[in-house]
Amino acid sequence: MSDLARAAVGLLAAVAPFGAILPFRRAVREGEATALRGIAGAACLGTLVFISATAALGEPFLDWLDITPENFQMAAALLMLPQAFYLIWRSESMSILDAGGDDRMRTAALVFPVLAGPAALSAAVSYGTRFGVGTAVGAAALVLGITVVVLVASATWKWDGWVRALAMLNGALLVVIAVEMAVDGVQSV
Amino acid sequence: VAVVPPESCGDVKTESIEAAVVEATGWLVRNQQPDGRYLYEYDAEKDSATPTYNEVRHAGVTMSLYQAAGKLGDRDALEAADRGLGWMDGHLVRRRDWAALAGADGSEAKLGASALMLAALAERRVATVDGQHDELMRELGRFIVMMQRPDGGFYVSWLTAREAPQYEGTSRYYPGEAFWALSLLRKAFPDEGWEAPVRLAASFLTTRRDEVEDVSFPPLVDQWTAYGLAEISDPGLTDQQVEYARRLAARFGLLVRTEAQREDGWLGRLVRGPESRAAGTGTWVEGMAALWRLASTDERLADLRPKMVERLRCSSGILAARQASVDEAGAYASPGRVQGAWFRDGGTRMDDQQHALSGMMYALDALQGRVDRGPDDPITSR
Repeated sequence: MSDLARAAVGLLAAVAPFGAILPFRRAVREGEATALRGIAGAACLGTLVFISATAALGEPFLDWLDITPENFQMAAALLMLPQAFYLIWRSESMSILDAGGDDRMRTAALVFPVLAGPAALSAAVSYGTRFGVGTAVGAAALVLGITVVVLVASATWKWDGWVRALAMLNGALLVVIAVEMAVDGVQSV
Repeated sequence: VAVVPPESCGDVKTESIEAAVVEATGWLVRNQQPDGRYLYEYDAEKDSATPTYNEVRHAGVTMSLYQAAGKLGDRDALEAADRGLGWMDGHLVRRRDWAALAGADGSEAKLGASALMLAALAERRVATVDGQHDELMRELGRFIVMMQRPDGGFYVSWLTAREAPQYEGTSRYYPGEAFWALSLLRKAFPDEGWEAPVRLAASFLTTRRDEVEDVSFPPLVDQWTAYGLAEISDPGLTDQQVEYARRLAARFGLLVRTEAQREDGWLGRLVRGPESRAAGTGTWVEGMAALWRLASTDERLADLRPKMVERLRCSSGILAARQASVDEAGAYASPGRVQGAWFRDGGTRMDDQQHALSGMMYALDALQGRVDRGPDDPITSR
């Protein structure tokens, strides 16, 4: 598997688009359903910018903290686990989102941290230092493109059972990614 | 940051590491006894030495002193090592065409002692270009080969009363020491048939040793195997051996990263455990430096070089910072027994200095890009 593919799978698990569906639905009010493309696009664009900046600044930041990327990888694995278990037990991403805002941009701002949580940001730092910033940003663009499609398409999904099942699978994948990240941290020089 | 504490690499300046090497050599030379033995174990708080000795560690310290003699052009180190060699000469057991180094009572000749004695003689030969001990090197080599099992592993010792090897038990580190010694013998005398036992030992160490020794988290942290693999990199290692070297380098790297996170306060000890003794940290530096040398000649490991240099600088810096300075030594009853040593819980043992010394010397090679392990100039020509 190429570095881009590995980073994309890891970021997909950490951004957890399937876990974001239920919080996203709660955030987008009934009357705003037609605007959900714009809200999803704005939230994903904001997340992409944030993740890209995190990937780019990860190495100098770790340098400043006197932490090697290899040791951070093991910590990143730990940071992913709360999100992973939340996805598995609650079938959605960790979020304090109960209701949307008064306008689209505010709603997008509320959705954005659901996507760019600690798991996604620690994955961005790890993949940025491990595979290179370009690869991490490319993978993030791919993942957030998929996320826009998933969030928009999910508006037409009538049965929540599928959504919850996909979110749980997303959580299981994140556990696997966290374990891989920890093992790679242990097995790195 | 809450999950991963910051790492501190001590004093990473090259000149500080060089100074630490000189100080460690000085401790070993200064505290040698007239009969050639070194100060084995010393408690600085009580100003007392432990009245025990170990011939395997004696041979290891002598080896490090010969390395220092060559690398630093240090005649005092050479003379001290020669005195140490004299002590070993007096404890040799000779049978037919082989010789082995026995302990004080002469009842048992441990494989590790003979292996490190052979390594010491090989280092002396490299440092001085003096072949006066060549025949003894061959005798020790023949003992090691005689002790090799068909699977490439080794019996642990020769029992003089029984006139047979000790067939029971195994050792985790003696096989690596034997491999390292035979690899040096092969290099010294390339046309004398040492290749086959060296390759057999390499095969055992990289495929079976972890299983035989029931190592919980393989590969076993063994710098001797790293030394040996670097020494036999021409004509080349198998892909499996390179993969083993990669995993071994990762283990050394993990240990160094973990050590860099330790701090000696009560909270640090509680959360991260106590700082490792220099004999431990030193072996990681030795192993990483040997694997850096291997990676410098084997392109299959080339990707590891930058990180290896980072870890070597960090681990050497940790050792340099933890070494007892002249000022610190002044506060004790016997400053000469403190200065240049590494202490934990008030005590030091000679192999603390041995492993730290060898490790830092070869780490300096990596930091300065010197791939050749030997001295730039033999000590006799200075």
